[in-house]
Amino acid sequence: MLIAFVLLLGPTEWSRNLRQVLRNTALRPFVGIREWVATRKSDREDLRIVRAQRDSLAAVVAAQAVLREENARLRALLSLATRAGPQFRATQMLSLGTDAAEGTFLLGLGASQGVVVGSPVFTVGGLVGVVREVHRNSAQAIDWTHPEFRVSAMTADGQVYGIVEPRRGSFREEDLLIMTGAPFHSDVQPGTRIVTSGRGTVFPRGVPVGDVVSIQDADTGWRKSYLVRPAVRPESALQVLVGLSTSGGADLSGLWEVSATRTPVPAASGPLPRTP
Amino acid sequence: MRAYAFGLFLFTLVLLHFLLHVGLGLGDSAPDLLAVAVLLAARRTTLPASALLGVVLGVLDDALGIGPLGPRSIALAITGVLGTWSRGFVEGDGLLFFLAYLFVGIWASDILLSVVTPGTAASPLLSLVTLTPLVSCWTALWGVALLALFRRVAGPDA
Repeated sequence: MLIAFVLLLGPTEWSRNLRQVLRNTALRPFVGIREWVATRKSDREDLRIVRAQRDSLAAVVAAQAVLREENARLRALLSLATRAGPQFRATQMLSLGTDAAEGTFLLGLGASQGVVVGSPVFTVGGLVGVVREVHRNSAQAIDWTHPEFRVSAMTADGQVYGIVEPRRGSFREEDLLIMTGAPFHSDVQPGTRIVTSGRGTVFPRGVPVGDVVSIQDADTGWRKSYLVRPAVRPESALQVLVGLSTSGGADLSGLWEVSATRTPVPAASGPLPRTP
Repeated sequence: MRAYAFGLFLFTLVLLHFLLHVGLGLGDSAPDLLAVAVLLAARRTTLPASALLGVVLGVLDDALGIGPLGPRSIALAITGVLGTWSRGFVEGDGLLFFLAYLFVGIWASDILLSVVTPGTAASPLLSLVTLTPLVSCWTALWGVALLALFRRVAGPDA
């Protein structure tokens, strides 16, 4: 029991070193199995996506619909890594299914590939999380559901800035994001796209974070908070892009063609709803 | 011989836990067999041994996260101590007894964990009285099924 309390209250360096030793020894076979299972799943998923894309393309061609839009969607799905450039690397995302690892995931890239603490992680849909620990050939990151996740964000038109943080639901499927610290006079409509602002040097500018669902809170005369539906659910992500050490301060608005237009939100029509 | 067989059974539970949770990535849908192993061991070992087992398994489980290594260790160690202590006033060897024992023990372990790591759930009290008992029941059923299988393989006296 004393050992447990010493580990809990001792220096973080002890925990980090012991954790690294255990992962490379006793837990290594299980992480290896997880990598193998994820690779198989990813291969199946890729085949399913390719089949779906082929079917979609066939349907579009058959119906002589506008191919330009479809092309743009497929490009977004398939070549984000190419367009993002060499400062971003694609890798597999492995979520470990233990309580201690909740809100975190492993990446197949590490310090030797240029990943550093604070490297952003995102998918074609938008921001997933940020790297917190880096080892030689692997890294551990937190996703946006982790209580320590924070990102400086803004509306896509750059009019309203705030800090986005997780908001736990009663069940994990209900987890959302909340943008706090927005000016009180701001009037962000449901469906407005929220993107990273690029302030600080962690996250590049212009990565989609989510869409505003409703106003969450209004501190008397000071600021507002908005509830944001995340752009990416971590449990659905298999392959991600990781920013390397040179990516800080980059502007990625062009990758997602971020604009001030609003995404329709089915549940929110009429005046801005207020949550209790 | 019985002790070796039981030790092997506990080792299998631990392997199965990490295989289901980490290897296959099943997460919360897989039962918490570490708590089951500690609780079953607590009925047969001394108090220090069950506490030590709880600490070791807790450290292994915590090693997969990015936080400190202690919370799960403390929860499992106290669970082991309580399990051993319960031998003094609760006796039983049937599967129904173990079902109830594991259910209460796993529920207690989750409560201890939420005390050691406060603020991780949106409404912890609600979760502890609604979701946690269901998960404890599910895990206890797994534990009893595996125990029954072990007894079948190793003999009823094992």
